[in-house]
Amino acid sequence: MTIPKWVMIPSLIISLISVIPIFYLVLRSLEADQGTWDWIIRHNTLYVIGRSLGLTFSVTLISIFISVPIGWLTTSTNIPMKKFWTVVTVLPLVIPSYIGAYIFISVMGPAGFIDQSFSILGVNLKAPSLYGFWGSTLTLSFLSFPYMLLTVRSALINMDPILLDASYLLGVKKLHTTFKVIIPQLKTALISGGLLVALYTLSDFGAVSLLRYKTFTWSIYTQYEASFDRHTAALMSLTLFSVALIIIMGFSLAKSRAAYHRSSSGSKRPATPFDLGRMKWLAFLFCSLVFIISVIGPITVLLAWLIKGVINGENLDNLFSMSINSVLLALSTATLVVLISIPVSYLATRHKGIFSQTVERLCFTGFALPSIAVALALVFAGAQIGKPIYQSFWILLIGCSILFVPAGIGSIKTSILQINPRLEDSARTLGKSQFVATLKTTIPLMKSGIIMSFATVFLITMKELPAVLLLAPLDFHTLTTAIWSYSSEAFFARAAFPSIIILVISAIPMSIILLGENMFSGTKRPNH
Amino acid sequence: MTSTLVCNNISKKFGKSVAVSDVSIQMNKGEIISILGPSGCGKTTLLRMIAGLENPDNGTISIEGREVYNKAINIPSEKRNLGMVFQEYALFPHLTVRENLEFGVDQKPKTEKEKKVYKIAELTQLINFMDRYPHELSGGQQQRTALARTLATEPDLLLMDEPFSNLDASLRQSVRSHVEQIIRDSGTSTIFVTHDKEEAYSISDRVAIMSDGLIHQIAPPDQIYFWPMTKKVAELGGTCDFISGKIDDSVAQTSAGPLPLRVTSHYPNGTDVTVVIRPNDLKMTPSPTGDHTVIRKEFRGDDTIFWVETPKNEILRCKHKTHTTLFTGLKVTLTPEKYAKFNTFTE
Repeated sequence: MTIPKWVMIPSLIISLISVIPIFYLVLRSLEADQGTWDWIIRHNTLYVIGRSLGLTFSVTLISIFISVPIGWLTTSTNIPMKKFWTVVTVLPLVIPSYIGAYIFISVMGPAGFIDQSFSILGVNLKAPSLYGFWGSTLTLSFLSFPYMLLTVRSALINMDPILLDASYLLGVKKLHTTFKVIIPQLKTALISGGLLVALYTLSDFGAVSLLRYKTFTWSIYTQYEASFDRHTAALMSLTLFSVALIIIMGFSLAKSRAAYHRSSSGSKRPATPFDLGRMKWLAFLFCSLVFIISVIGPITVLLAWLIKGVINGENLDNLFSMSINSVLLALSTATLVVLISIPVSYLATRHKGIFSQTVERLCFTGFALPSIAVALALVFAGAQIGKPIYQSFWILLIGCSILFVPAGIGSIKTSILQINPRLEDSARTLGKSQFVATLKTTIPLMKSGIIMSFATVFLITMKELPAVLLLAPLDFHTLTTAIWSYSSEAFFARAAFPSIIILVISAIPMSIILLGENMFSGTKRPNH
Repeated sequence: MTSTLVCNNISKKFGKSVAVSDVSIQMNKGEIISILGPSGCGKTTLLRMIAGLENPDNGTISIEGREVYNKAINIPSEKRNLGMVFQEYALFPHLTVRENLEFGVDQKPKTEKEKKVYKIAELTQLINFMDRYPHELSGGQQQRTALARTLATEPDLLLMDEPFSNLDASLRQSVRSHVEQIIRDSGTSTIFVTHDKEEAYSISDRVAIMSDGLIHQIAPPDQIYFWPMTKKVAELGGTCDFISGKIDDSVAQTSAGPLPLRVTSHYPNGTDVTVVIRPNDLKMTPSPTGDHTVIRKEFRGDDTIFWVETPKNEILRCKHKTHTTLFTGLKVTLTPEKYAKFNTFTE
């Protein structure tokens, strides 16, 4: 069947916009002269790549060691307070990396809590210096492991319990079965979760910049800030993009050979939870520890700084307008991304072919391109096009949309896949045009997907730093930029206010996402 | 009088595989036609092309004298004024029964619309379920909702794709006769697609036998069963076995004895033919001197099927009305039933 216009035209426009970042990066890189190349070689670019990769590797590895046990404990065992752990272990997703880093520094760094406590006590000691690699690894691991936890958990939930029964009946002991049957089946989940964590780390700018660990993203930023040297920054962004692409290809190569799905038909029987016995208190302790480090600790520290700030009478003039700006940006990005994601997802699920594949791939640019690179490319594009785009809110909105369309497409596509295409056929034979048929049948049934998509994009836009830093108009300050600049200048108490506001606002979409699975996946009866 | 539907030489390929090949159908007003064939024979594709949900590669389609598809014209589904009931019903899960029924009715004013929906709900006995959501209905009620939703638009032509295959066997028969009654009462021309012979025979005026993308014969049910034009039609139109024979005046000489021909003097004497044997055609009598041997027995409740081997090692199925004490290994004789006539083919 032919692709309807309302799908075709937006899809084409979006694909073109998604190509802009790469186009401009290539364009500017091609202008690079011998001097630029000399600079790149002189400044040990390879060494910087090595640092980025080292960090990526260590964060991904630690995430596995945190998320696999928690995933298994919260889905397949009789750990006490199972529901509670299920919810709170994904909460770190709300904390942006720069807030994590800021909290880390404000505790461990010079003039931080520990040093201050020591000096109050009259002890002549300094906290161990955990800047750089170790600081970044710890901070990013405890912030990004939920990405992997979510994939691990859904793999465990969808695993066919009949396989476990089969293993027991073959005479394999329970714990042994766990290692021989369950863990191997997690391969796919670990690969896709690992990819998310790896790309998160590779493209992170907030944490590494505050923790003074010179990775690629930070080098690109300093290069751009220091000299406004377009060619070097563009060339480095392209290199980073290539590294990200290589990582993606590596992960998908590993994934393509693994195909695990439920083997039996009929309705699924719930599995009996694994009895932990006396070990369950050890498991409880482990979950508590992760919860304290990743959520309770940071929030306590933030509150402590907040109280200190209130006592010191910090100047908080702009707080309100910054909050408005952040919410405005998040709302408009989420709206735009949802509007884009509907036709693209529809195309990708209902009109499979070369065209739809190309469009979908192009829209995933934002997944592989670190946000600093997208932002930089749009700065170039904006400078060339000039008014009314350059240094305007619109270019910031476009940048965020390119970055977060992949996240938006995810849940919308899933919801379309669950809707029987016969519903539209049926509406058409009842006399409705293609557009009206979709509008009256598929779109209302996609409601849950649309809400999830909106909440997800809202959440990540609230947290976004580099794009806002580079693309926002001069007088447009958001909570994220404020936190970053306050904490890079060690105004820890002042940074606490916008941080708390971000966390509070983010709690709304986060609870929608967490509740969503229960609210929308059950019976389909809508409320009228 | 114009025909409700005329399809001329419709063909459709998906990649290299041929789904529908050179199909022509002509259908009268108020008629019910079944398209009977095994799964994958192209019957659903044919239906979707008539509905405008799929485009043919070749051929023309007209509905009520209006060309809806040819090389130059392609009227979209929504303007063909036809209704389709899908195998999985495709009820809108976010709408109540009432809203589902109102979906395709554009009549104004609103009271007219409500009146019409009420009338159709009455006809389909859905009045008491109007405020329920589809998932709160039984299989039969869902089926009737799907039918009512379509009939409410007063289509020129109703298309039904395997409409009873999602129902329990126990429910199927009663829903089927109810649906036939509703369709007859509303006078709607209808095409059924089915793989169930009994279903096709019991509700249609004519049956079209389809396989491998071709329609082999369109005729009233008894004609399809008793006068199949090809061996394929005989095979798809009912349970049968084929044995070899030689024409000898009004009978065919076979390993099961001389069998009376339905059509005599069609082939010259001595012609080698294939004879079609239906399970009801031959009578089995136990006899120690019988030429034939019972090799397998299958009890089915209402009747029992026996597999009988002839001296030429050809195997036939014979039906016995009641459960019998006949057992495998028994020697039997075979004689044609009183009015049984036999069809022959020469390939």
